Amino acid sequence: MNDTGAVLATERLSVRYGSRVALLDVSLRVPPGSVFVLLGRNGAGKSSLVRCALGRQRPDSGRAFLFGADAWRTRAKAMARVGVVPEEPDAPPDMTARELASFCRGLYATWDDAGVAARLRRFDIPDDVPFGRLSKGQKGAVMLALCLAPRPELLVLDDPTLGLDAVARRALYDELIGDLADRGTTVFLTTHDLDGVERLATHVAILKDARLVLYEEMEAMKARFRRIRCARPAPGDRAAWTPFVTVAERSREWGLEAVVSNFEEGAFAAFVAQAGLRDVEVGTLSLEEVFVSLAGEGGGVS
Amino acid sequence: MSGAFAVASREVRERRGVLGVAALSGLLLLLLRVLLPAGRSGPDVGLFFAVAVVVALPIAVGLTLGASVIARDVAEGRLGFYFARPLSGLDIWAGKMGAAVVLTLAATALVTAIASPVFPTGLPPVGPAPGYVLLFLIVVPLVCVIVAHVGAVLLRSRSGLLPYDLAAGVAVLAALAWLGRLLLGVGTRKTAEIAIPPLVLGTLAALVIAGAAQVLAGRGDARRGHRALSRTLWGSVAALLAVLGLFVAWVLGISPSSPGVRPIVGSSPDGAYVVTYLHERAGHEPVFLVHGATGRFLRLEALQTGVRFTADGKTAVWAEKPPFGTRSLVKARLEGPEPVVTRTELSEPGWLWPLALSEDGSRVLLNNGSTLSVRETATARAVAQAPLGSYVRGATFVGAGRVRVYRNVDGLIVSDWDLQSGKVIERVHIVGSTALYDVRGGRMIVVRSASSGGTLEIYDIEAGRLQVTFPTGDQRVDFARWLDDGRVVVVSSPRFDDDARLRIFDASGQEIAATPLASPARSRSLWRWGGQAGDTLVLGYHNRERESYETVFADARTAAVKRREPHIMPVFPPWWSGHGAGETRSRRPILYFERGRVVTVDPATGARTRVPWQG
Repeated sequence: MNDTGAVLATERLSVRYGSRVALLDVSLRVPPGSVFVLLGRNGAGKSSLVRCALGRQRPDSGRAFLFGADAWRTRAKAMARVGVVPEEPDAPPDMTARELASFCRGLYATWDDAGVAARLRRFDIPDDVPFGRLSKGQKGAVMLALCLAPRPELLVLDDPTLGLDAVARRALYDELIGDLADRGTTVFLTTHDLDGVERLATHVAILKDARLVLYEEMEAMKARFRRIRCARPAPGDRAAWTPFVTVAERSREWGLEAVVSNFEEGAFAAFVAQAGLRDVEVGTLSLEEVFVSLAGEGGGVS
Repeated sequence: MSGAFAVASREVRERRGVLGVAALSGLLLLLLRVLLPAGRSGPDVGLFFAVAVVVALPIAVGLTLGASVIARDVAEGRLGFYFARPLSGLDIWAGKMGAAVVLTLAATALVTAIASPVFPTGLPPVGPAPGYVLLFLIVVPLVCVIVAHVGAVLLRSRSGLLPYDLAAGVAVLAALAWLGRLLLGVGTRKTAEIAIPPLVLGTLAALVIAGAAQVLAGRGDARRGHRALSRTLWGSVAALLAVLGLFVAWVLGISPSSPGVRPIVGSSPDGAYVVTYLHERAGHEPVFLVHGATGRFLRLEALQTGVRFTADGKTAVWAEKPPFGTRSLVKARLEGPEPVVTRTELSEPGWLWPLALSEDGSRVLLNNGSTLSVRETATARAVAQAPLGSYVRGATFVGAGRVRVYRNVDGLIVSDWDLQSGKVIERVHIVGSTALYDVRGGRMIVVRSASSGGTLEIYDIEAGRLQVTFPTGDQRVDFARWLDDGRVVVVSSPRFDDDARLRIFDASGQEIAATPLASPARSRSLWRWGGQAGDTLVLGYHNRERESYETVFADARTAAVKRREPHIMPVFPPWWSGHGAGETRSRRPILYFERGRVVTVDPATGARTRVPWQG
């Protein structure tokens, strides 16, 4: 048991494939009602973490928890409270959306038939076409409709927008927002669509090279990450960013640029006065910019 | 299990087309029968096709469904759909495999039922009885489902473990071949047959468990599922092989010192050697030639026939046929505790049974079931042949130039075959069912025949006439044997093994002594064996139901019981062991079996001394 009250949690989770380390000592918790976004480059370990969290893969060490219970041991029971949209829609290809809904209905204690029908209509999904013949976006929409129908307490979306066009992406997020607004469902989301999720996310975590390099609330993260730019110091002067911790530094034609991870207004005023820097500018960062700073080449632990 | 049922229902719906194929196949077979009716001559093409389809279609359906029902999900990464639902791994596996099984059996039933008018008995003639046919039609497709399932998952997982699986499979086959050769190499085909069903069932169980482990432990991850499957499968198979190896070692490890030795086959005429069949171990009944004084023994591997001795007990022959070797006539010189064995290859195929050895051991009488042949023991070259080989009860050499043959043909016929002239002279013919109890001096036999109303009789073979009739009445004669002085000892009883009496008759047929011989156990499987040791009659009892033994020592003059010794059986040379003429006197028990050991017994005190076995 894990008594932190988290809907989903991991505890020093490690996964290896032969000699390759996919996850190393990853600990995180997804609070109830949150929209938790897990980011990482391809191969960073996101899918392994999702599989462990859903009880589909036994970690090499550490544990994953769903609703406080060991995910591997209680997967079947926990899945009654979890809706999953996989990276690759994996429903049986010969079944229509209607047949899929009929099959799934028998497996859950609660099932929103009207909700499924309404969503399929909204997504313009023909209910007599086998799943295998639907477009990628339609398949994703069917999976989303199926996973929302039992009114899950936790939605796990593994890169659901992969391969979707802008319209389909927008429709998916709208559906999510609607569901969130209705019921306050907890969402655990991995994605490469950083712009799309920025407006939804309450918590964010970033994996890099199998390790967790960032894990905190979205607002706190946005508050502490800033881009600082200044004119190039005179020869002999040293550009020192103390007391800030930089996660990325660049030298530009016009001067220097750094992304700092511990920005504070008070500390910044003192820093500018002491360093004697000229033309100093401070800017906020988007989620994508923070991600690139941390997960890109040269980025590091925040 | 409602989850499993839901999964199974879905699979059945998806693959219900196989039922249509089965029904259509059955209808086509009916149509074929109409177009090609069974003719009075020539091959019945309609029946041939019907049998082929009814047998092949279930196998094809089993293989197809077995290979696709989970393997396809694994290959296409679709098991995750089920694992994202509140379904246990067992629900998913059982539902999918259950659907494959149900569909396979339903398709089998459908095609068989529709095509049944084509078959004379309503079922395809692929077994000796309807039960076998149904078993075949059910079991074979199910085995196909199981094997195809595991095989397809191994192949379609596309993991790097496949070469290891292939290597493991080759290793398992090699181990099986090695163990099988060990068993068959010593002629234990029956043991191999006993081992095969549990081995097959164990392997099928391993396949089923491994298939389940693939889903339960892999949970949609093809690579990890493959690893779970391989570990479970090869681990289970390795355990099975280990058990089989222990079983083979246990079977082949049987020796005269093993518990439960079967008490008697017989001894050589001089009593120096004992031939003993051991209690079977899973069908393996090895034969040992044991030197009584030292306990040294020779394992007679792949023995095809009984062992025959010369009259002096110095030479023995037998035939052997290792499954992977040639048939040989084996001659053993028994001058000391170490038999000196020489083998002569027998060129002709088939069964050959040594019946007797000549006085000097230079010639052996062989029977192939239809023809008797006398051969030189050293070269196996035929000296003479005669068509007397059927229904042979026993045979002995009479001097150097004659063979006396006892055959059960319309009663008992005793014939003399002159080796020089080839003539066969019928000496005695006793009509009707005849029991032959003993032969004395090669010329006197004691029999009890249906034609004589069950009376015990002595025939003089040389003279070809009935010599003496014993008044045994309507009692059952369990045992009769010549004594040294020409008297005959008889054990008879009014009912089977109950109220037995030990009776002694003189040469003229007069009963001169009798004593009640309380049966040590009432049993229909009581087996008696006996003979004379000086002034003492020795009678051994073996209760085969209880595996208990007892030897009764009685006075050879008065028939009075002197002593009973539990747990031991005397070892005698049987009359047919080829000891030649006039050897009744030598048939005295030197050795006894006692709880699987050979012992000597002091006739006066009953003190027993164990003979140590030495392999």
